[in-house]
Amino acid sequence: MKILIKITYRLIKDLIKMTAEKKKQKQKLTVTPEFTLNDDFEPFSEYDSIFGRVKWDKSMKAYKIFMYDKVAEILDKNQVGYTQIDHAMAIASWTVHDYFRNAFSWEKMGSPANIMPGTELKKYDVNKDNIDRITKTIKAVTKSFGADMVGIAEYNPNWVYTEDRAETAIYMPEGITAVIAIGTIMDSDTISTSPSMTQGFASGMGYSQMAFIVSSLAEFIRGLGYTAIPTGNDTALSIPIAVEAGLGQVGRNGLLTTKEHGARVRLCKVFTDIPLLFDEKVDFGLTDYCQRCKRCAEACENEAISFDNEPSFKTYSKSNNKGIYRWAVNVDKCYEFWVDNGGECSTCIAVCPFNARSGKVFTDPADYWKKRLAEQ
Amino acid sequence: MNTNETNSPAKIEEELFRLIQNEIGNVKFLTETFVHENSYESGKIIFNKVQNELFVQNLLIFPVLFNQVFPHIDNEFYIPTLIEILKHKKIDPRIRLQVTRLLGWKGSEAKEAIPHLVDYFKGESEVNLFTAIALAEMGYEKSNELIPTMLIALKKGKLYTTRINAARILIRDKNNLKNILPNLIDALENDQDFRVRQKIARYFGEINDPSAKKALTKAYKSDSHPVVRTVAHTSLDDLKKL
Repeated sequence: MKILIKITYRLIKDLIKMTAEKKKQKQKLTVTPEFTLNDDFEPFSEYDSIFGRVKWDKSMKAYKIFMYDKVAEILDKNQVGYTQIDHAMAIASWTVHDYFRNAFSWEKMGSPANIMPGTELKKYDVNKDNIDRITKTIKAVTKSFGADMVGIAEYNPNWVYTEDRAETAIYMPEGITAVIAIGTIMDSDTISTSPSMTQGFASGMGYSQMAFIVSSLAEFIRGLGYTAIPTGNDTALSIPIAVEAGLGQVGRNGLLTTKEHGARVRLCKVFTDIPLLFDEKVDFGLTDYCQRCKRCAEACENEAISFDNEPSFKTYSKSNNKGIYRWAVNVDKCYEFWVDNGGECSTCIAVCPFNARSGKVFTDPADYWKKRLAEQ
Repeated sequence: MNTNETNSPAKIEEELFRLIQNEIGNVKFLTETFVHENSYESGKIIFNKVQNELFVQNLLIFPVLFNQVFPHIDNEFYIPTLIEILKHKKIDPRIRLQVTRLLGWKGSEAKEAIPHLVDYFKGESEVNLFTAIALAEMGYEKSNELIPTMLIALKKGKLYTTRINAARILIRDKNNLKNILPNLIDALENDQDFRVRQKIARYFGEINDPSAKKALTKAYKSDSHPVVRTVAHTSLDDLKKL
C-alpha cells in the first residue's frame, strides 16, 4: 500500500511539474510563429532600410557606397567566382525584375500586344460554399506560374511600409483582406558557392521569377474582378507576412526559414480583397534550434549575425525595425561585406542545417563551373 | 501521434524510440516534431538514457539525437544531457566533438561543463581544438592555457570555421595580443581559404597596431584573392579614422 501511495505521489508530482513547465513555455516570449511586439514597435519605413539609408544616412559607414562600386577592382581573371562572367551573369539574372516594372503595377495591365480587346466580365462569386475551392485554386494557379510555396495570411497593416525608399507614403487601398505569400526555392548549387559573385545569379533569378509570378497572379485575380497588389521586396515586409501565411519561421539569421529548404527561398506577395481562407502558422521548433546552433553566426563573413543565446529587442541601427523580439541582424555590417564582395552574400543561407536538408552547404565556384560546362 | 494521445510517460518513451529507430537510414524529420511537442518528457527520457554508455556509443542513433532530439528537448535537460555524454570517457571522438561544439555555443550558460572538458584541450586533434574553442566561449578562467591550442586551431584546423573561430577568439584577447599577432599575420598571409584571410583583414581594421597595418598593406597589394584585397583596403581606411 505504501509503495502504491509513493508511486501515485510521484506520478502526481511529475504531472504537476510537466503542467507547470508547459505553462511556463506558453508564457515564453516567442520569435515566431507569434511575433512578440513591445511598445516601441511601429510599422517600418523602407526609407530606413539599408538600401534607403545608403543614399541619405551620413552616419553610415557605407554612406553613398553602392553595392557594385568596387566591382571593377574585384573582377579577377584568375579567381573563379569573381570574373566578369560571374558578375555579368548575376546582374543579367535580375533583368525581368529590374526592367519589367509593370510587374509590380497596382492597376490591371491589359496588354498592348493583344489584337483582340478583352471582355469585361462580372465579379466572380466567392461564397461560403466555394471559398475552400477558390483558395485552393489560387494556390494551384500560383504554383502553375512557378511558385514553390504558397500560403495565405490575413492582411496585417503592421507589416506594410509607412513609406517607400524614396520617402513616399504608402497607402494600402481600403478593403484589402488577405495577402498571398509566395516562396520560390533558389538553386542549391549556385547558392552554395557563396560568397562568390556566382551565387548572385540565384538571388537575381529569384527576383526575376517573383516579377513573373506576382504579375501573372495579380492579373489572374483581377480577371476574377478583384483587387490585386503584386509586390516584391517593396510595399511591405515579406518575412513576417510569410510567417503569418505559414511558410516558415524566422531564424537567427533574420530570414524566413522553411523546414525543408531553410532560408534558400525568395519571397514575394500579392495583397488582395478576394475572400480566401487563411493558413495556419507553423512552429517546427526553429527558435529552440537557433538558440542552440550558431553556425550562421560563426560563418557570417562580417559577424553581422548575433551570437547571443537568447533573442531580444536589441537593434543595431535604424534599419532594424524596433520593438520586435528576435535576433536582429547588423545589416550595416552585412551590407559592408556585400560592397567589399562586389555583390550579395548567401553564406548564412548556405550553412544553415535546414538548408542542408535539401541543399549543399558549400561548392567551390571552380567545381560549380566545371560541372555546368561539362553538362553542355 | 500528438501529446494528448501519448500523455503517459511510458507511451511517450515508446513512441520516441520508435521514431528514432525509423529515422535511421531513412530520414523523414518526424522525430523532431514529436520531441518539439513533447519537449519536457522527451528531455527527461533522453537525459536518463544517455547515462547508458552503449546508448551513447550507437553511431547510428547519434545523428538522429544530434539533429532532431537535442535541439528540441526542454532547457532543463539540455546542458545536463550533453554533460552526461561527456562523462563517458570512452565515447567516440566524433560524438565528443559534436557535443563539445553544442556546449561551446551555449557559452557561459554551459559553464558547469568546464570540468568535463579541461582534460581534452591539450593536443592537435580536432577534438582538442574544438574543446579549446568551447572553453574559451564558456569563459574558462585559465584562458591563457588555451592559447597554445587556439594557435594550433588557427594554423591547422581542418575546417575553415575552426580557423575563423580561433581567430575571432584570439583577436579579443587584448592582454596577449602582442604575442598572438604574429600568428594572425601568418594566417592572413598564408591561410589557404580566402574567407579566413578576409576575416582577419577585417579584424586588423579594428586594432591600431603597426605590424597589423603593415600586413594589411601587404594583403591589399598582393593577396591572391580580390575580396581579401578589397577588405584590406577598407580596413586600412578604417584605421585612418581611429
